[in-house]
Amino acid sequence: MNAKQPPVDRVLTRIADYVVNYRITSKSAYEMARYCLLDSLACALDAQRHPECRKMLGAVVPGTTVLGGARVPGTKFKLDPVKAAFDISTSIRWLGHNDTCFRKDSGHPSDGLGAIIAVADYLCRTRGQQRRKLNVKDVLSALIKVYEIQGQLLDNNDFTGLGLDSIAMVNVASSAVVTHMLGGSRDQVVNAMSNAWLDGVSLRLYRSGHNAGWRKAWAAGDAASRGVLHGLMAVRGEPGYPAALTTPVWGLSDVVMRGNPVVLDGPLGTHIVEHILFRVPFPAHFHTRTASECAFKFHRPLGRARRRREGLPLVDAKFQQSLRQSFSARRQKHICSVCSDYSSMKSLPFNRFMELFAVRARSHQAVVS
Amino acid sequence: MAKARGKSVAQVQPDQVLSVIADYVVRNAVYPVAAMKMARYCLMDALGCALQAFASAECTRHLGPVVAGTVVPNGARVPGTRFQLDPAKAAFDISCLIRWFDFNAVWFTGGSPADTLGTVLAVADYVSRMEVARGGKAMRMKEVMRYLIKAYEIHGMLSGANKIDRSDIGLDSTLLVKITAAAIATKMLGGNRDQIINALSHVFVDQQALDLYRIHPHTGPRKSWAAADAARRGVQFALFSIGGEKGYPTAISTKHWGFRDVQFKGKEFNPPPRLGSHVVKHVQFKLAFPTQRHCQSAAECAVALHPEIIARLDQIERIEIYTHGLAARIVNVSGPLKNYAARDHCMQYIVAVALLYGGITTDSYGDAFAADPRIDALRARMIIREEPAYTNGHHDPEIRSNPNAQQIFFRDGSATRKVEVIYPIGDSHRRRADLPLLEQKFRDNLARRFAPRRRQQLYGLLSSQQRLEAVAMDKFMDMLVA
Repeated sequence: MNAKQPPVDRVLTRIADYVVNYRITSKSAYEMARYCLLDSLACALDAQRHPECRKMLGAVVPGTTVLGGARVPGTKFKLDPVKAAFDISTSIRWLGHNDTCFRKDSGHPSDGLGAIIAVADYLCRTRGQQRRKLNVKDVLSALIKVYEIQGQLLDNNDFTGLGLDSIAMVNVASSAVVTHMLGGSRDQVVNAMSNAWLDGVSLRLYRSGHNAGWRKAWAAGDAASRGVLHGLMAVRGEPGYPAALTTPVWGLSDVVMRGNPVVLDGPLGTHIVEHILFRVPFPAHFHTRTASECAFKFHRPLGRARRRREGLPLVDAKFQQSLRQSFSARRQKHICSVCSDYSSMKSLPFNRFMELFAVRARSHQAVVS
Repeated sequence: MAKARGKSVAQVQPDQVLSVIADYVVRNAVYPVAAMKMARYCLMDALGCALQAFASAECTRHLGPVVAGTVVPNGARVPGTRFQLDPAKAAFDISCLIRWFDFNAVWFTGGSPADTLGTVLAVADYVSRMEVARGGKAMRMKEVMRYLIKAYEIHGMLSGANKIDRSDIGLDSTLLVKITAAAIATKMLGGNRDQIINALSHVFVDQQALDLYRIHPHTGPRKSWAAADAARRGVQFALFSIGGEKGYPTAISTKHWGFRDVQFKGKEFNPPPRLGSHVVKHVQFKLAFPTQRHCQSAAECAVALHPEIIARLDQIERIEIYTHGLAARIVNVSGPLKNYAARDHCMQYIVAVALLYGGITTDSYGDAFAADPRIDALRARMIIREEPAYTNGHHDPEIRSNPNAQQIFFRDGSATRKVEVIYPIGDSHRRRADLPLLEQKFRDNLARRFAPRRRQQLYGLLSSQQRLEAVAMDKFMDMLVA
């Protein structure tokens, strides 16, 4: 055996370069990112009215106190960023009406948003050295990138066909973006991502037929929390495995993808966020009207930029509807005035933004339906 | 296997692997005295390994809560620290410490059953503290050691039945740690048979880590925390299962979507052949040399040759090493070794250090130590040969040897004797002579972390079967706070 250093996989370097160097200039990308954030928060608040979802939230041991912990919107919890990412992404994804992209493999780009929100709130609130001041625009930048990475990976690779759950791309995308948010270098982004890939890919079994179970609703949270974990490890100096994907026999392509290479063609920019499909109108009767019907019906109108004018008010309505069910009228009004448009939101410190959705410890009952 | 179409999941017969393990875990067994005694030695050895790991800053940076200062009420203790953590993170931390230097007990067919002990200790401590807080009683160490026996047994027996890290599968064998942790933790947390099956099924639908980080030249430090990571996930699934999460009883066998077809290349994942208390009785300890398992006997041979060659280093022409086939493939590495993880999995490096210094320690793999040019000079003169008889001996379940032989030839045509070791130090065939070495290793490791009085207390407690079995789990873990 010869010990030559393997070169870094191109998929890893492309994503790392995008995360570290790409400057988002598209105003419409930020505009859409704002809608994505509000839509995701609406989904999270709606989901938390379901006991099956609520049961997954909170610290592993009740009563745990985390200094400067990240908040979970719609709850009183302050958690470490790993568990907060789990809780937020799980809430966003629970009902399955969060934003979507239909690609070679379909997925919900907002699945990774829990990692971004949790880490951003943590960075704003921690008393440690990692403390950083992030505003809503910084978070939207991270959102755009995490959407783009996940969406483009889904665009190029078919996991479902191999019996695999593409949710692993949430792990990969969030590990990359989170590492950068935590102040990690390009190399550290590569390191975090390579460890995320080496986690492997879970089965799709829990989404199929008679086997379908709740795991399909928390798998996103699980993947997002893994991404945060790898990010935290990478900035503390954990090395990576630069040829994790392509190494013959032992790399991800051969072990997991049955020899199919992991492909990432085409430019990484702001395409995914700008062409996102929202699941609107808010499916008030989603028990009787399946989410897929809604998606089918509104795919064309909302998938195209020229129909956005009709679709976006529905996102606003969905957001307001979810606020009505979770907060007092005064709070609703306050939230709506802050979130009314991009220019009023963008420079708000992110911890202040998160405060809008936090439930104060005493009034936790507010989220119980 | 199970034809489930049109049936509700509740009616489906769970996969045999799941039910066999669950049945074993729920069984209330009383184990023979010999097994309980070896469980005590396993505990002693693993705790010692954990205390030794504090020498590595690379290890200790993985410890503690995600956010410093987090307070977990009734959290589980991590030996050698003041941390109290949720049971999942505590399982990670304890497992990480035990495994870090790869100096913990191993099993013939690969893997370290001791990787499962972090889960047993973390969950036992957490359950005990919760119980005490509710006014109940803590678990006794006797019960904890029964769980240890079960955990080692499941891990070792599954390892014998399934080779996971082979090249046509390519997954990391810490999958077995995840399986064991999920089953044992669910039971310890009060779960019933169905809940154990549910937790186990989540392990099989889960993502499975790749073996790549153990394969040269990709070797990296993840190999030292992968078992801990698996233990943490196992405990997470146990907690979910206790919380009412349903399972996927045909997670392995479901056609097209199941573990067998998707992750295991269509090959059968075999249930453990029998489950009793075999593993704990025959486990192989690493007592003298912190090396990869196959290099244990190689280090011993080289140490024996050290006095004969140390004065004649410059006259060495070649070093012939005879080993079994698995070692000749896995730990036979030439060329640059970039880090600790690469070096402690390189037979040539280990033999070179043992020849030069007459011993090998966890300090022998650092960058500064490895810079000694004599090491690579000796490595360049080594020839590793597979000895078919050794390969047979290693693979035969009746023999289970781990042999190595070495002979060193000089330029003037002379040679040393050929030194051969069939069963390395720590093997169950050498128990009587080796147990004092194990106790010595434990005392040395205690001295790394504790003041003399506490050392004596701990050594005294762990030397007495009767006293240890009677002690309460939370009190035991309190003694290990540093």
